[in-house]
Amino acid sequence: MKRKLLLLFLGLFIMAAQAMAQKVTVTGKVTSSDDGMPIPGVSVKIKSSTVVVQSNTDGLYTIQAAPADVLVFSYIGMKAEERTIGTNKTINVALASDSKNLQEVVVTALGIKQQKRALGYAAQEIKAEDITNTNQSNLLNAIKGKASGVQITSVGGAAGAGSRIQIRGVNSLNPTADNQPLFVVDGIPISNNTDQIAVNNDNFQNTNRAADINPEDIETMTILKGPAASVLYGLRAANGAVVITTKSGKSGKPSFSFKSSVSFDDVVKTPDIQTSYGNGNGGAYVPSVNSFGPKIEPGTPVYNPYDLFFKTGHQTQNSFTFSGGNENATYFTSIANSEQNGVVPNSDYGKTSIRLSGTLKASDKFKFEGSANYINSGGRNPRTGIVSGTIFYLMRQTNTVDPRDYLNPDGTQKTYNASIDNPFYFTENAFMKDNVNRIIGNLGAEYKANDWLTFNYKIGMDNYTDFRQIFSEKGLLISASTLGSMTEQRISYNEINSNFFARASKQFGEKWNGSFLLGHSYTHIDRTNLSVVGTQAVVPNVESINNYNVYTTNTYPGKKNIIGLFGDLSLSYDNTVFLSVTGRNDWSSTLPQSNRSFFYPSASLSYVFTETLGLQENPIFSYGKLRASYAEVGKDADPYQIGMYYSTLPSFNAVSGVRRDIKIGSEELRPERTKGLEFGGEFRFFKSRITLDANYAILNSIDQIVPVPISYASGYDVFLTNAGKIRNKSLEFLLNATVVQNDRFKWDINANWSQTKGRVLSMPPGVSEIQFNPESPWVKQIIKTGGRPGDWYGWPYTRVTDGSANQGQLIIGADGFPIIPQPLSNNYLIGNAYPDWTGGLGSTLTYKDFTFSFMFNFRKGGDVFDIPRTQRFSTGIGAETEIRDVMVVFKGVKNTGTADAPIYVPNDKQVLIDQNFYTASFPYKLAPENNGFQDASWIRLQNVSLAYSLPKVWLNKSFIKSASVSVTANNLWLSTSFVGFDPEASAYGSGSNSVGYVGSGVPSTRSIYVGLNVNF
Amino acid sequence: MKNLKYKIFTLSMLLLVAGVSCKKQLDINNDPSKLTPDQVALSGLLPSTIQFTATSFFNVGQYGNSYPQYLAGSNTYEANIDSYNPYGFDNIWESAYRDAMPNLKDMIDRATTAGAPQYAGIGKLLLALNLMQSTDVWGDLPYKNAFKGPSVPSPTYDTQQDIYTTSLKELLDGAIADLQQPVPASTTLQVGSTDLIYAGVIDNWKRAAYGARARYYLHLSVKDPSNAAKAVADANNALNDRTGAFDLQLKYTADKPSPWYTNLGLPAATAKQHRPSYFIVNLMNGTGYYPGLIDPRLPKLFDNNGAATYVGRPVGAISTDPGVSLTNTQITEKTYYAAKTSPVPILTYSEVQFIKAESLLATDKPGAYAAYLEGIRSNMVKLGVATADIDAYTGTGSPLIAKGAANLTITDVMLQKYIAQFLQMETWTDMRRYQYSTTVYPGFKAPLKDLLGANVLVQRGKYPDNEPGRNPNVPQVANQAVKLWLFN
Repeated sequence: MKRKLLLLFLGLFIMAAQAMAQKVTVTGKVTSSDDGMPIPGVSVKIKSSTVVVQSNTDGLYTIQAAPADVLVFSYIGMKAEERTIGTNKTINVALASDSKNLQEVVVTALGIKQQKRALGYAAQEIKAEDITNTNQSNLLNAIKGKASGVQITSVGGAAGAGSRIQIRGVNSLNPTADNQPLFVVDGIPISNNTDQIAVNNDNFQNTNRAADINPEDIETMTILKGPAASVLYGLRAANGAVVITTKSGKSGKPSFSFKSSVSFDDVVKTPDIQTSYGNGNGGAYVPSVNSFGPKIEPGTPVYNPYDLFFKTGHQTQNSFTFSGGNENATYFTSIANSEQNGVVPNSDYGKTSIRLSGTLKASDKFKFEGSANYINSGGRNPRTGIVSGTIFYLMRQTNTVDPRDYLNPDGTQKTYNASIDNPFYFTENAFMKDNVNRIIGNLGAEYKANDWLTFNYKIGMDNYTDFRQIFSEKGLLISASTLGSMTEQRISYNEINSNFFARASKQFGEKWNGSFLLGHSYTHIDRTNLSVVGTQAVVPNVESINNYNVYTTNTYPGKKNIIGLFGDLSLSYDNTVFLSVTGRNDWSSTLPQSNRSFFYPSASLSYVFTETLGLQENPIFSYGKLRASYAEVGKDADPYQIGMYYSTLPSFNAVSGVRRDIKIGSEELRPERTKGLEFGGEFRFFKSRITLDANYAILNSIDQIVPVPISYASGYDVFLTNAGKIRNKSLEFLLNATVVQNDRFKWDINANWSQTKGRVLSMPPGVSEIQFNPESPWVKQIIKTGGRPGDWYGWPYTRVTDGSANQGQLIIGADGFPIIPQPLSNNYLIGNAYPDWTGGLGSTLTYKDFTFSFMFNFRKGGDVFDIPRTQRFSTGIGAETEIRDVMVVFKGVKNTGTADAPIYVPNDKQVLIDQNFYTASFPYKLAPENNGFQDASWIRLQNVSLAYSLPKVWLNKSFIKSASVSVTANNLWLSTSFVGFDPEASAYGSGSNSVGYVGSGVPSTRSIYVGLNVNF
Repeated sequence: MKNLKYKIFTLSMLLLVAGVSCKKQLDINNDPSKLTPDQVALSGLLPSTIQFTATSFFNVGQYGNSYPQYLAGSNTYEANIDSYNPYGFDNIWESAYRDAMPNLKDMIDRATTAGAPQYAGIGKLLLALNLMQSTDVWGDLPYKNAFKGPSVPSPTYDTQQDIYTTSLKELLDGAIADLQQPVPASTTLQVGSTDLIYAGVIDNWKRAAYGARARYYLHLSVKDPSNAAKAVADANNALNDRTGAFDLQLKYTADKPSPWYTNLGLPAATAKQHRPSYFIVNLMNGTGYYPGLIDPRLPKLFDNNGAATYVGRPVGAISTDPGVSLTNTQITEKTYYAAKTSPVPILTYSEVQFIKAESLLATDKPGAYAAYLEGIRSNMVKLGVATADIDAYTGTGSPLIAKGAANLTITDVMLQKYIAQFLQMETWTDMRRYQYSTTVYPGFKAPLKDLLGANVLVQRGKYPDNEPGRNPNVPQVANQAVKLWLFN
């Protein structure tokens, strides 16, 4: 199949090459009539034809045309000009700016460029420089705080750590559902999987696959937020889409660019430790796991494990691009490499990307494009977790033992207590290595049948293998039951997408415009995961899968195909009112035969009312647009979820058993539906100096495909069926303002604000609640009808609620300690993991050759659970435990009456705060007031950068076109009342739906980059 | 226009071809790495269900052994369970209710349809043992409405009385009846080499089934003393190999080590979750009920790292409590139950002897006495105690043990059963049958720290955490001090 397509393309190329016609060459320069500067990227079009060229960086263009032709010069924000060629060989044009005709173009679904004013839904474009200026190698981290309604959570500061992106709240109740948007590069979807493996509650901070994309290759990134925007991409874009358009060559002289940067990374924030009491128990020294020892004598060295363990990490990034072309063919190549040494010893990550892309205009009718991107990425990732792992051991480390002294002369681990592994030794001996080889390629052709009909075909492939080795040396606590283990895993992923569409557009009369699109798409995804686990190491310190006594092998296949047919009808009137209606039918292999075909429609409307009101020239309010849309999207299931299967068990005494799987899928499974209604507007003031965009969206997700947890007594653990309904309401604002603009000085401000409120409207029948990761019953997330996704439940201290003068006071029990409500089978709502709102505030100041920019990001509310915080209490190392061996009286009231008729008097019972208090789980660990459950509001200086462009006069004589040096810092400053590490880093990884669990991973880092950027 | 028609024709032909290949592209949703129901054989279900059952008999005791005080929680680990911090036996809810029982039910149904009564009989026996153990932990449980798949996602709870008087009876009677059926001619219907316990020897299974029913009648003898005679009758038909070679137990292998090995045998001393409690150790080291009498099983069950004496750990204590630092015993891989290849017992010959001894005590003292001695001796044989040591402990020179039929008391029987049944949670049922009577179990005390209230003893398991969110039918029980029907 693939080979046949290739032959077809070759044939088309040859045919097209012969279709050239005789013409004259016209050249010229396009400048701005405002300042006389050349304008690059001006579209120079032969009127009534499809021939278009663009001006180069010097404003120069070259075009082949007949003497009778008329050239149309157009550029965004400028008034278009027309010139008849006649006998002229040189035509220079000066374009005047035009505020009323803002023809901003946005790349939307299928790579189609649309006027922004025509969009009936919210789509936010992020420019290349906003991404590359941050120097982030993971492009998701680069857009943190910049997009409204988009929440990006990085897993932490480990080298190569993944990030999670979520647009406008959780749409799926399914704890394992992917609520992340579809990633599309040049019209073809790519994988953003985080292939995550948990090993006994421990995990690694695996990379999300979109991080493989070289940020330097990105020209624009459009975030399609609601289903109306992404409906043409079908079911995989039900959570929105991130549409990336890569850079392509421009006709003209070849251009080179080189960018290099080096960073210094360190950990933003670590918990405080107590430095008054040393290793031991009950005030006496013993080599215990605890720090409840004697008072530290003056002069005794005290070690802060965090300071000694974390080091300064470095990231060096180099990228080189080379591009150019002529009016018929363009090319773009890039090579980029980044190498990172993490803040955790023995951790690293590297990425190399090579990309080649080109376009060929074979004739007026045929255009071809293609690209290939090879990526190699991976590194060595520390093992972390909530009951073991690098950070867990680091957190329990005592203060009077030097953690750097961890090796015995014979090379074995030196520990002060057998219940704890040394964090340095641990990172040397427990880790994951991964090595990803990936090829993303696509090939496309466009055929312009005539001036109103275009056919477009594109086929793309995303193929990667991820080879992983997970190693745990014999003798580590985590190796207690395995006696040393190693896993070798080969994940292979192959996705093929084929997209065909025909598009007709026609003008009717003076004011009506219409276009119709009909398309077909085919998606094939084949993922396999083969893993071999070896346990019981033969010889220590041998990192080879051959070195084990016992092996288990498993393969996890997963194959699915999706076929789609779609259509889009767009009408516009007077460039003022725009209506678009779409429909798509998908066939997914993962659903039962009777339900696998499903249709969903959308409609969107945009109205630029300022045109009707004749306000175009109004100096105060010149542009106002209202938009509304409604859309439905279906969502399918994962492969192999229907019905039930049996599995074979590993052999026991050479006998293999068979068991029934604990999952069963409904034979009547239907596709999940998301229905979205959206209203918004865009308003521009003071000649577009101020732009405000506001959007309100309601998203109902119904018929959710949920693995409903059913009673084990039914014989199964989960039943996959359609059930449950969630509603999300989102409000978003975007504001851009140019405060000052003159020859020397320009000051821009941009701000965004967004809020999403989810609500569970119904639950699967017979299921009252679904619990997420209930490892710690004292704080857990529960979803139930009427609740919100991310609701936290726990057992808060009992307080007076009778409305008396004592209202709100803690009730102190007979033993003198605060009490928690009984029985513990009742749970109490204590908060929500999602923020009340988030926002960003950024500014760019340009003065002559200096550019200074910064970006703050805000988060209000959103509770997180610092799972291992109890470890810092129970081991007595946390600064909170400095108060000890004292008698205290808890502030509160005690009940001197009866349970039914309470009489509250101020508590006066003295209690001893000692090791038992911190060690015993009652009552300290259970109440969310103490156990690490906290509000994670923050203000963060996400990004600040200062760049200096070398003056052009200095470079005039050299081959260098432009050059700049910059200093950039990410995550430089953080203000939060949260106690612990940076509350952003999520404990369960970027592939997980569990939001709000923090504290066990490698903490976030701040990075300072020094960079150099040169264009030739 | 003609051109357009041609184009439309071509397009529709293309769509037709696409439509045909469509179906092929979409019919790919069968997991190639798994088996479909028709690919499953009885011989494959048997070894899995045996493993799940053994896992349940380990799981129930992994933490539960704090309740009969075989084990005491080690500080910073599971110390709270021995202090009666609410505990739901979540791991046996998984291994019994999610793993063992549905697959046993499946095996029984398939065997009944296919005409393989031995598979059905073994299935019913193992199902009964799982159910009896579960109801002894939780009381009321789903059974009659259970294991019906997603059509009954939240099965109702049967009362413990109903489970005992109807369901368990049916299963055990059915097991014995099935195991007496003639063996079918077809080899695919015969139990064979995949039987991990008896390698297809049906007579052993039948004896095990009688033993299980003896246990069942013993449990009910509190309610109705006439059940004691039935227990004796079944015990007489039960396991008869005094070396323990035919005990109903799963012996683990070096590749698949015993769960006690992984849980207690292997971890470093300071990383162990539990240590032997002072109660069991004191019964055996001559400081407890048997003053001066050193039990030769001490070194078989405990590892004191060569110390002169054996000292257990107080129950419900934290590391700073008195007596904790004196503890010198551990369960290590050198001990009988925590080696790689150790068995997890489900029902043993010596237990059958003690069932007999207890059941005969009121009616036939000499018979009871003989069974009592046989229970002790057979347990010692199984643990590999030297014959001379066995004779010394149980012979006439040992008046505390060999006290003569006339002097035999319930205390003697139950304390010796307690020792012989080390790490088996059947003991917790024994103790609750006597309501932890200090006459029967002299010296037994509530944990040092007792979260149920001072000197309140634990009566049941909390329902597992996993269940209330999934099943609204879970009975509301105030706390773990509420007695089960069986012990009321």
